[in-house]
Amino acid sequence: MLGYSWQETNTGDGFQASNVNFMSDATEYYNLGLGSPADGYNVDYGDKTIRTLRMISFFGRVNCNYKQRYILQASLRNDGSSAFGKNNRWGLFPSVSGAWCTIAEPFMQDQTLFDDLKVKVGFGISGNSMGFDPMVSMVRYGSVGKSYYQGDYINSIGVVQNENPDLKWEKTSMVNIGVDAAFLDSRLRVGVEWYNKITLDLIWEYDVPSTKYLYEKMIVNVGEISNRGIEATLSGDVIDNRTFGWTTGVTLAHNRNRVESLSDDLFKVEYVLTGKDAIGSGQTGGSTQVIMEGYPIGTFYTLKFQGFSEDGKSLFLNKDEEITDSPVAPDDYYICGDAQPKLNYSWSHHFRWKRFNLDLLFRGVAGHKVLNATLARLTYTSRVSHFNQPLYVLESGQPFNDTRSHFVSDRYIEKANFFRLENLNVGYTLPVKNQYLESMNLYFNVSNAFVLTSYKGIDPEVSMGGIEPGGR
Amino acid sequence: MGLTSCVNLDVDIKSELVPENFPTTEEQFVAASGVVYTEFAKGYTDNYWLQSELTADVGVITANGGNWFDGGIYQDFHYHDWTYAHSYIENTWSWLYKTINSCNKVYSLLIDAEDSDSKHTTIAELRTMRAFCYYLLMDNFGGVPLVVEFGEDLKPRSSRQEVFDYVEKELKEALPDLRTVNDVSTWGRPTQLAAYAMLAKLYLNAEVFTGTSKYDEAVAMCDAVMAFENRGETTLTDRSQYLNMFDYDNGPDFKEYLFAIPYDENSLQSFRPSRYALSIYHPEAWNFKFTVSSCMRILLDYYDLYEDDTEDVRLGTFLVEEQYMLDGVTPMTVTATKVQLDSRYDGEDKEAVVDYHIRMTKEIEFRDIATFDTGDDVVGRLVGYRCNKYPASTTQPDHYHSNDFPVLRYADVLLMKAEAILRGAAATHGDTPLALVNRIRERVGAKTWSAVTLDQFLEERGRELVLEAWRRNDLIRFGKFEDSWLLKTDADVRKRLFPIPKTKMDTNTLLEQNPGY
Repeated sequence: MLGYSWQETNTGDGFQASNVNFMSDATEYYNLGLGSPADGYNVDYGDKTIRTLRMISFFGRVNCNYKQRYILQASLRNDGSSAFGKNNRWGLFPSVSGAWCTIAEPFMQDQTLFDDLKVKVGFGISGNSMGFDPMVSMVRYGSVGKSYYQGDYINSIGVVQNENPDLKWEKTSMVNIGVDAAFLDSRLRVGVEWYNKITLDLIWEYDVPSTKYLYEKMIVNVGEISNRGIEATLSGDVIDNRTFGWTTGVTLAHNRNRVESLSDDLFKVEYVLTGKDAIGSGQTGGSTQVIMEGYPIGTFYTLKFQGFSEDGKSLFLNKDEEITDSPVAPDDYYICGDAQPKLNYSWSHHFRWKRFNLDLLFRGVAGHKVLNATLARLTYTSRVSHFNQPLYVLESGQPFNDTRSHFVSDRYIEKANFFRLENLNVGYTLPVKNQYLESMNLYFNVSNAFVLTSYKGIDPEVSMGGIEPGGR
Repeated sequence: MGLTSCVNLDVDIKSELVPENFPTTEEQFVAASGVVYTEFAKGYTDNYWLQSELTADVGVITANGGNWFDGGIYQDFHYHDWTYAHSYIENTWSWLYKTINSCNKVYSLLIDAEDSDSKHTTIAELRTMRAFCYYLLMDNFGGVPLVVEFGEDLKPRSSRQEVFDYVEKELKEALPDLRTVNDVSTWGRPTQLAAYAMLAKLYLNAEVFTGTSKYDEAVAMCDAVMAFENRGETTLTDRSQYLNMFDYDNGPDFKEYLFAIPYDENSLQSFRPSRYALSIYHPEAWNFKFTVSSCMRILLDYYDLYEDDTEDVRLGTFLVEEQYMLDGVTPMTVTATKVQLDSRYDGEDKEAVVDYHIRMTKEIEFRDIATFDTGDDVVGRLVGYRCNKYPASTTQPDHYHSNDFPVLRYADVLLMKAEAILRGAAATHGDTPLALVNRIRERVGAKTWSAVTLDQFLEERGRELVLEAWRRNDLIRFGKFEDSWLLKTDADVRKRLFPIPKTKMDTNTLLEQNPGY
């Protein structure tokens, strides 16, 4: 199979204007000239400009199958994106996967243990070009202050973005190996897969010396992140007769995420502070997470709480490991766990009795932490005269003159393990079958029936995407 | 749709200025080079300007109860006691190299544009600015690394002679393409008049910079500027307008300015002379919208330079003795108890409230020399005369001024020619030093002289160019930078050069420090 695709996306295609002092709202924004602004009113032209992204791809795929026993699939993509530097717009991404249906081999015909056995291997490289401005690899000019010219002060124009003609595709290469097997007349089915994913050439902004570059920052491919893990599934038809059946299944997944590198010979950064949105008042410039070599994404980097002092102040550890009540960010931050789970699992059941069916899906995550930033912000005991406090504050007997009770620290980083009944479905298939109706099933469905967790917030399942997972 | 468009990833850029569409017209060249002048403006006043006048015998910034002690930086300037960690010295170096870097950067962007007159003129102006920055670096630090191309690696210092030669060559090569008019269309940018004046300064100081005197060349450069007077491009402002020349609404109408920095309270901020000239009582009395906590006090001996002449219009720039409200008649007063007026007062009635007529005293009396403090009471803050050469306006919203700063003035050129002849150059066009200096004196209403000596020149330059950032340069040339004044007694000749700042020595290990630091 061969293919070609061409696509162009334009965002921000338009313009904006504003006006004030309208005599009547009836014309809304359809007649901006009806406004009467005061002298010197500055129209707000906004700062959105048109951004064009064009992607072109050539791709092909080949499927082979020999004796239904050896299966091979290979594909190749040549992707181009206008977002990258003119030297590196195209990226070549191959992938190949194969399967060996071991069960179909002659030497497997006489054994009775396995009802199915298959070995799978795959390798592929894919590219990413999303998540940043399509103009990022070009030199751009902008206003850099004012200067005098012929009696007026005009905008000085200077470079506000460095050119990077070598900016290229972010690449992820993945290897996976797996085995599927079935036993006991295929009533017990097992699958295991191991994978190793490395993402290279991650795009980020780095500081550069202003004597060698036209602008003091540059967007380049440097970083490296790895994800390594195992997934296993197990399912069994425990009971399977004419009137009653019960199938149950379990899936387990473990992933280890790690930032392998943030710097190379030319561009260096020791770490990047993230999670700044989770910071509340009185902590300007603070952050809650960090991206650092050797640690996973979502590592918490914040103050270490040490209890309360005699006169009721929150105490923290400073960088010299002494107790202090006025910590300084980010000098006094410590690594306090991370938001990456150790295990993602699910457990499902399907019960069948005559015409009734009962389906249950349990899901859980274990081994990760979440920053309960909402609780931190609400536990502002020194402002109890201004707004409500959470109930536990009253019950715990915390002091009310503590001006740092709301500071984000490991006090508010909680274990977020949970076990949830995600879906409960009870149904009945009606015994109708006529020329109009093939089948009809009445059902009752509950989503999120209950969740077992020690997390104090509303729900331990928070946004885990991007570079700031787990900080709410 | 041809086959090439199937693989064409070059999208049209409609909303950005990119090298394909910028710069192409004269206005665009002007906008592209604007950064250089903004950068230059940011450091010339409130940093370099103070550095020149405070290390010289013009004035001193004292503390008031710890306020304005600032770690002793002004004290160090006065005693000639600075080290390579001094913040002003570091800022001077950073500011000049930042401007030079901007010049190199804009140069690299413009050099590939299509040929046009605007391009040649803009490039000549960039070279002139860069040369002037190197002149200032050479004057203040001696030999410095000559970074002349954008993106160059770190270099060691060139010798003072090499920097001198570079400045001379660049100015001479830029001259033909510079503009020859001095009006609103060139205000704030270097013209031929400015370049000739810069060369005149370079040659006049050549003996100090390189050991070889070039007084004849200095005279030739002054003559080149003076030729413009005949064409009406420059002139000596009339006595009646003399004080207005430095006022907040000064501008291109004052053709005496050969090269100005066009500061503006909103659009080009950096110049805050009122901070150093007014007492804390003046802004409210004179309806200014800002507050000050003032401190540059003019040294008594410096003010005495004007003593001979009560008719001298230049005396009008000083705030001395009793102060008055805007009408000039009503006394400016402050109501306070006697002990608040002077914390040393110990009489029985020290809590008695009086109306004190604000008075600046000539004598700069220190309460604690170790902390450079003149006291935090009313009297302590009013110690010393002030030079209010650059008045504020009642409409400026903040303490940033709109007065355009004179980097080079025609009066300076006339004085330079006279000095060069007195130092041994041949007189040209029948101009004698006496005639030239009398032109300057007559203009301000001072009594003309019948004879003149070299020392009198230093004094006249002091009177004319006070607070214009040339005093240190003048004192060095006349060999008086090592003299004593007020509390200063240091006579180390090596202090004529400032030390290379510590942070710069750390980042560039190829640099060698000046002797004595």
